[in-house]
Amino acid sequence: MNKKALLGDFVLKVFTILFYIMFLMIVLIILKLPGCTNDKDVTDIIRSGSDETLQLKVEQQLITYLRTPMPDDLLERIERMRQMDEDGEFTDMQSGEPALKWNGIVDTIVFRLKDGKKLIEQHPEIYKGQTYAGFIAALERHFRSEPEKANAAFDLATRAVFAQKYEERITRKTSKEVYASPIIIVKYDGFNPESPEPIKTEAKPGDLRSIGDSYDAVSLAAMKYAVTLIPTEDNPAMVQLNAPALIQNVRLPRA
Amino acid sequence: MKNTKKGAVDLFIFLVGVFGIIMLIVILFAIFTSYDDLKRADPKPLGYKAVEILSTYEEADESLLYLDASTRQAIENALYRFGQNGLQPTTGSECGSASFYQKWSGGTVEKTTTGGMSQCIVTNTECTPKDFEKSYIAYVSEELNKRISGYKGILPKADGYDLIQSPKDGATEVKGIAKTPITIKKANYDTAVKTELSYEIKPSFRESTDIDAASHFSYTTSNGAALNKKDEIAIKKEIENLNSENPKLEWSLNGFIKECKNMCNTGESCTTNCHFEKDEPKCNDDDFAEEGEFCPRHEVCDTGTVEESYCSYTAYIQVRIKDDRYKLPGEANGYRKTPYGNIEYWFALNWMDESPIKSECVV
Repeated sequence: MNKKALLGDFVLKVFTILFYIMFLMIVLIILKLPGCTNDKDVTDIIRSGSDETLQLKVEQQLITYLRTPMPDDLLERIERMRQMDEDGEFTDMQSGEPALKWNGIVDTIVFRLKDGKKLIEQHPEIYKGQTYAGFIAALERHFRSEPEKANAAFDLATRAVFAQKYEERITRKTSKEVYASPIIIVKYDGFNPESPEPIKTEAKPGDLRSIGDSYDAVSLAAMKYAVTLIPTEDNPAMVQLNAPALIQNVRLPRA
Repeated sequence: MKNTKKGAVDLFIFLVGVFGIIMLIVILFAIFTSYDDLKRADPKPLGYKAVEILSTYEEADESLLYLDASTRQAIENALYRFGQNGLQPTTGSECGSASFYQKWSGGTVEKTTTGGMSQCIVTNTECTPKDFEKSYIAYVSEELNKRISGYKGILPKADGYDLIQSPKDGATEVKGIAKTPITIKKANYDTAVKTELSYEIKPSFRESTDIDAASHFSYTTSNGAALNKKDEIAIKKEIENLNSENPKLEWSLNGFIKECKNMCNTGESCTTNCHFEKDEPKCNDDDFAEEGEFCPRHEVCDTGTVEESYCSYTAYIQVRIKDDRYKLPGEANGYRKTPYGNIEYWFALNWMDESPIKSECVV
């Protein structure tokens, strides 16, 4: 074999190998190209799986809330929270403003501490010996005659019973306990009991609402809803728990 | 020879290259086809089967929550109505009612005829409530049905449960077990042939309220019946004793009415309104005839029947359950409240004197 032929043979082999490598690279690049792969599908599959689980969790959470026995010392709990609010111990984690807004206005719903507390004081039967579902059912009569008072009582009781420590944020200088109370809405009528639809969180007359400490546009965007029915004297009432993905909480300085 | 070998080697390399390219194209084709299949198949999320099974439990739990809440409310509402209805069955007392108090005893007077002789007989009937469990469960069943009928889910109606009132110290407990199970079905598309994921559960409940209704029932009925046929002063005294004996229940006499307008006509004939009438119409007003003779008279009577008057007595009694947990600001005592009203037992005792206070002849 002459020298030229040997060189040609060598070049052909090198080119063939390079061609294979190049082809493999093209294949790999194609596989990584967005739209050509199922990465998104796989992510979606995993995400929707966890969404379903989260949905179940919210539904189970609502049932647990509704089965919770109402404490006999509800008024004392409310009083404790009022005192802490007055002392400025509750703070919004984002704005730094007072967070519970007992006497303030959240959207168009007016929560009046005095009215709500008075109703609870004068009607111990609405909470003593009742579960949270029983409390909601017992409030119906008062809701029909004094909706604002009933709303205030519902909000106070919901916060006092379910506000709980969510996490503890410790920095080098401070330690903050983060509390949250849930967003629960009750609709006594005006819905189809066969397929109750989730209702919007925006303030609307005709419902009982406790919008908790996590009511903002961001958290509403990623909201999970759980809806269930509870019996009342006349018709079933719809109870909805809204679970925001992002919780904006209140904090308590460590005592 | 050497050239032939070299040509074969080159051809082999060329063929391997061609086959390699074809294989890679086939692999790519297969991958993309399977991607498309994956996209077209609308794949179920990871763990969807487990989630679906859990969601059937959750759906059942939702129904059971509704059932439990209904029973809890039904127990209290039934107790409230039971008390207002004088611890009598849902149909009311056989002795009737006085105002809104159900009677535990009733007195009536009626004419009876035996051997052609008529007389008025007084009957004092006892209607003291007897069967606590049977009566109370009937109220619970009504209240439970009212609530469950509004639920569009899969729960059986109240008559679909075996309801039992079980004794519990210091409380009233009702247990219920559904006669037939409920089934929650979900379509399962995992298999080639559509099947159903089926979850079967027999709804049951055990709910209670902290009111010892069974004890109250036996205590109230036995002591209430003992007040029958006593005068007002004796009843008040007895109530005082009861209140000091059992401070958990507060008895009060809300009224005592004696009424003697109960008439009974025996049917026996009698005469009344007897008076003398002049025989001669010519007699003047001074009872003398024209010729100065005394004007004769004769007695004229109306014929009627004997009517007897009897006195009846009604005592209106209320028994309240003391419970300081429900004491309102400014109140001396607290009473057991429910969202439907206070739990109180209302009843009336009514009886009649055996003998008439007067008999008169009525036309």
